[in-house]
Amino acid sequence: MRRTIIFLLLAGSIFLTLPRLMAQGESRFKIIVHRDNATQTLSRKQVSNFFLKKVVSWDDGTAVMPTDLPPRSPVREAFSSAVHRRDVRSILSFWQRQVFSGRNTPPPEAANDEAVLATVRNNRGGIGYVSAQADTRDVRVLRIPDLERQ
Amino acid sequence: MTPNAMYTRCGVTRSVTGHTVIAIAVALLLAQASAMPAHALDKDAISIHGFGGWAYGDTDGNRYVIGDADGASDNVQFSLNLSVVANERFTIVTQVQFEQQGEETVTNLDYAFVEVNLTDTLKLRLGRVKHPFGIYGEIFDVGTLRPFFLLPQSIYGKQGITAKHYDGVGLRGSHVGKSWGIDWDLYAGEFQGDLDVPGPLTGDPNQFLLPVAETSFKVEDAVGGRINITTPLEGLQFGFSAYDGSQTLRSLGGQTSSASYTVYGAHVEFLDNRWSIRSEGSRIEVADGDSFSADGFYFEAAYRFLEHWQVAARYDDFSAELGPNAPLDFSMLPPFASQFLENQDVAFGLNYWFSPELVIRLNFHMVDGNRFAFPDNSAAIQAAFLSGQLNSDTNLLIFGAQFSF
Repeated sequence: MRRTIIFLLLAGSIFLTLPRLMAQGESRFKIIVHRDNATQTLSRKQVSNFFLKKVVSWDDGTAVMPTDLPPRSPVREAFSSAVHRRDVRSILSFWQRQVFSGRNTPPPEAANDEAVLATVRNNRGGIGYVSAQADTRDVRVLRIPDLERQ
Repeated sequence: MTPNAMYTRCGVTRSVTGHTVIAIAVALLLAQASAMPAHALDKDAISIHGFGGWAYGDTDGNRYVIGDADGASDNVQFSLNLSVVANERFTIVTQVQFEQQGEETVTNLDYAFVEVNLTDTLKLRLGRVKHPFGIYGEIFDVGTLRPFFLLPQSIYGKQGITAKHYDGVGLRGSHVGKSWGIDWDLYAGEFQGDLDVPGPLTGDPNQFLLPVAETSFKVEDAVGGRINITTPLEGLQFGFSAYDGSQTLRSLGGQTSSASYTVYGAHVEFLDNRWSIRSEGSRIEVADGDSFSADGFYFEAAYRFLEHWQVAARYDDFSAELGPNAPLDFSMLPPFASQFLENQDVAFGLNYWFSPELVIRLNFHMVDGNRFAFPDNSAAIQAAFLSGQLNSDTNLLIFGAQFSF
């Protein structure tokens, strides 16, 4: 009886965890900016601050324009866990708090990688994230050293 | 309660500060509007959000916040929030609330203000602005941002510590460092909040046998602020809030005087993917405590498991003291009057989150004290006077849902 229970608990935990692990494995991402943006690297914290609108300007004074993906996107989930160190649900709660206290509104959401790329291409201050396989020839891909170390 | 509510409202010399500032805000808006090209706003400049909830509350005797002994199911509330980014310099924010009170639907203007971007990190706010106090001051009615249906009554109940908004002018700023961050608010104006006073403590013979007198408190010429500090530990922040103003009091003999009204407090919060842990403490002093003082404190913790489920627990404690100059005839107070100064609430909750925007709740509160737990009717108060005893134990069961969009 005890072995059966332990087996079921182990199987259940694997069953619940495996889809999430697979999603993370499939959803690596790249952080992109406009090709004329002189920035080469950013820290994880700096990227997080941009997307949470805690910092609103690049070093040259250009307004930062972050673009998110939809909440259910596995790429967004991977980005949120790695950059914000919080899941998407927690970040949505953060934005609820910002909105209802009248302090800020969340970044716009693009439907997919192509929409993010288009937005960043057309806005000098733009920053976004796309899946690792996305074609990023017309934009600059940033290095995030503390994410590379993970 | 605060002494101001112990009497029928006297002829208060109204401060013009709040009304003047709102007028200035409107003038600013009109000036900006006239300077803008006459074209429709970009649709991305307009954001519409809302939140609301419904609950059924059932107690085993006294009324407590949203529950009574017969079971109350008319606890319905909805708010609509609109913000317009008019241009890169200013934003207009407004929120209206619709609340069911008995058979009436009451509409309140929660806030309406213009925010001017002085710099990237410094903003000016004018109008009716959310009161930046503690953790929940600016998100008072947003149920999806807390683990219980009810706010902690020790700080956010109808006892005179916090108000939903102030009418005036405010500055807010922020600074983000490598590891630490700070955001702050300063404000000046006046504000008014709801206040429930046990009938025997109103000092008004006409209300002596009422279970509760629903009134309001007003703080004039107030100056206040809040500071919030984010730490290097992801999710941990703490802060301090305070404000000081004045309130007009009327003595038993009918004379009016101005008394200082001071509130201060501290808060700490830790949030991550699973845990939300919060704690606050506040103190209020009217006339430097010579008239009235009170302390409120709560600690709450909630844990999310299996993606959608959450369990929560809270300890909430309120304790008040009537000072030597409290305008009351103490000889008239019933023997159980001290129960009206206390409230301890131990609560447990089980929540199911369909999403961050929709939750259904089952909450249970075990309450000791009568600061917020009142007998059902005047006959019960009368019976308590005759017997010299008032039931101070109340259990409240809540089943409800809250949403936001």
